Amino acid sequence: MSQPSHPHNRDSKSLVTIRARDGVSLGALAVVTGGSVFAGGDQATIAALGGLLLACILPALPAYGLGQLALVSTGPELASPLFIGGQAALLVVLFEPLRRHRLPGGYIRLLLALGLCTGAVVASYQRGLVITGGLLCLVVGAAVYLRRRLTMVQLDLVSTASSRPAAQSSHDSPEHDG
Amino acid sequence: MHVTTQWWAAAIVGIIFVILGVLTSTPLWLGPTIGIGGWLVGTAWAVNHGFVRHHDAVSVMYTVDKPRAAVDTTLTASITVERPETVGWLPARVQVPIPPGVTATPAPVTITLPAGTTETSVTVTLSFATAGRFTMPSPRVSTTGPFGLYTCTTLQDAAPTLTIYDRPSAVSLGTAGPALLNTYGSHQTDVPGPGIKVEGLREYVPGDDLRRIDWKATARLNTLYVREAESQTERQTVLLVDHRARMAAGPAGERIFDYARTIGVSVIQTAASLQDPIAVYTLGPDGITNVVQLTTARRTHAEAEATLYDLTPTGDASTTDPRTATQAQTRAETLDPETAFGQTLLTYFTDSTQYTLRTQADPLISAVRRAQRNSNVPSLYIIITTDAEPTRLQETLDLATRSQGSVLLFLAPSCLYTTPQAELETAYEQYQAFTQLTRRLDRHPRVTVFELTPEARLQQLVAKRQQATT
Repeated sequence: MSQPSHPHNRDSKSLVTIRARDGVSLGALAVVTGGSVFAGGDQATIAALGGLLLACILPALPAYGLGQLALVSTGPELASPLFIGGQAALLVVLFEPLRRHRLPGGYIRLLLALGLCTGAVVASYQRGLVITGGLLCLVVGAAVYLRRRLTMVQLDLVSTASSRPAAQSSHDSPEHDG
Repeated sequence: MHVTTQWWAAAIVGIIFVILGVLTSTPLWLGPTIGIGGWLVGTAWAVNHGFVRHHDAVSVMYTVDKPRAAVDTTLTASITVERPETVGWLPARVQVPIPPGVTATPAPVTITLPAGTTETSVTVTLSFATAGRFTMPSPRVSTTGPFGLYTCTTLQDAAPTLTIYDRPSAVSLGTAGPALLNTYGSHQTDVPGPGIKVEGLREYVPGDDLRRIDWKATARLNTLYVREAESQTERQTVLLVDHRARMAAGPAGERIFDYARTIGVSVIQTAASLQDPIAVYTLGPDGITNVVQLTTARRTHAEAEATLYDLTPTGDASTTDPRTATQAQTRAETLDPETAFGQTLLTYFTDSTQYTLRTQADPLISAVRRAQRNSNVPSLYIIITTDAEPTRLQETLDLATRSQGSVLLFLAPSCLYTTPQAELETAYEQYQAFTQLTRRLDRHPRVTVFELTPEARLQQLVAKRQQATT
């Protein structure tokens, strides 16, 4: 039996880990922290510091959410360097799992997906926040559902009228002899 | 492919950011939703691409040490999961379902492959409570994406089929076993012809193959000589298994048919191990019920074996004419069984079916005829039946031994199966008649008869007879 030579310490099942962030993510969080302290008031600074400290020990996705909370709570302008730079820094945090796992084509696919979501927001921005937010949720849901259906077809998990599937998903009950 | 609770948690967080943005009229809150949404879509794209590649690349080898076994014995199953390093980044778990009636130790059978592991295996002991053919359920391979957002479960087509049979009680075969074993494998004939091993030289006669001329001997002796080689043939075996109602005689699990099936399967397995061609005919009341054609293919042997396991004794359709039966019985009573004349004719008169109709309708005879039509070389006929119709049996043997054919006859004495244990003593006379029949049939040089007798019943019969005489 061959075993992995470098176990991933950050893949711990527990939610909170001391070594949750890698160096690049810690640097990105430091950038966001600096920007928040620079632009925010006292209360916003304290909230941002607390949130970002917590982001250091949480998995990437919650850390990204906390970073966003810290950043937006300082009230930056949409086109300000603080907001754009902060978003870029938080994307570095979001992409952290890709640096740990060898996911073929991960960066390209993730950037294309981000482009899709951004495009949906830009296209509907003039129609109001409700429509824009709804469309964004719809695009994400539809894209994941389509990807799921495509995967099921590729894995021959979808039964057609003329043929039975060779394999079934875990929620189906395969029939066996014996 | 399915999303996990982590995916739903992330999606809900994204929706909360949207709601926050709508409630505060701050479009900045859509930023985190774009990030989370992009993450969900992007990882779905990448991870599911990985799922497909993993499904194509993973290999599950599910093997069992023996394809068949008796009830209450154990088999050892070995399950090995292999995958290339290119898809080893996905954590996977293989579950092997165990069907009802089968006990696996240890249970449940689950193999875990952490990320980076490319091969692992497990050995399981299987025991079976009931007889039958078991197609083991296919192993389920579950993979989880590295970010815990998506899972996928597929089935691997690696399920073995096992045959579990009832172990019948000890059976006495009457004639010794080695004769049966010597029947299989490499065979030699007494007829010289083309072959490999040179037997000698003889003078050329018109019609001999020119390629067989030994030119050195011809030059030395100044006349044409041909090489004579020992002929080697592949004997064709034809197995005929009777499964008419008469074969159902006997207690459950010890019926004539149970023994017949055991012997039939043994014959097929021996033929398979020696790569002898074998054809199988099963015989019901109205004729031939199954035919497995003559080939040496392993698939054919498996098919023949499966045919026997699927077989059950049938009901009997009678073609007997009562008037003829009465006449035959009357004439039989006038014959002296002690004389050779009487013995020969008794075979025909004690059976009560009209000859012409019998010849055309009897499934044994029909099967032998059909087998002869399908084969150009002398065949070995292995017939498993009862002594219920000795005349038809005699006729079948006569037909089978024509054209150099030979017969192994496994004959069950119906009296030992049908007579209740308490009245076993009354079956002694019938058993004596049976032994006389087997001896008479065995006299033919190309016929060997084996008595298919339950050993325990035979011993009981002898013991009761001894008690009665002392």
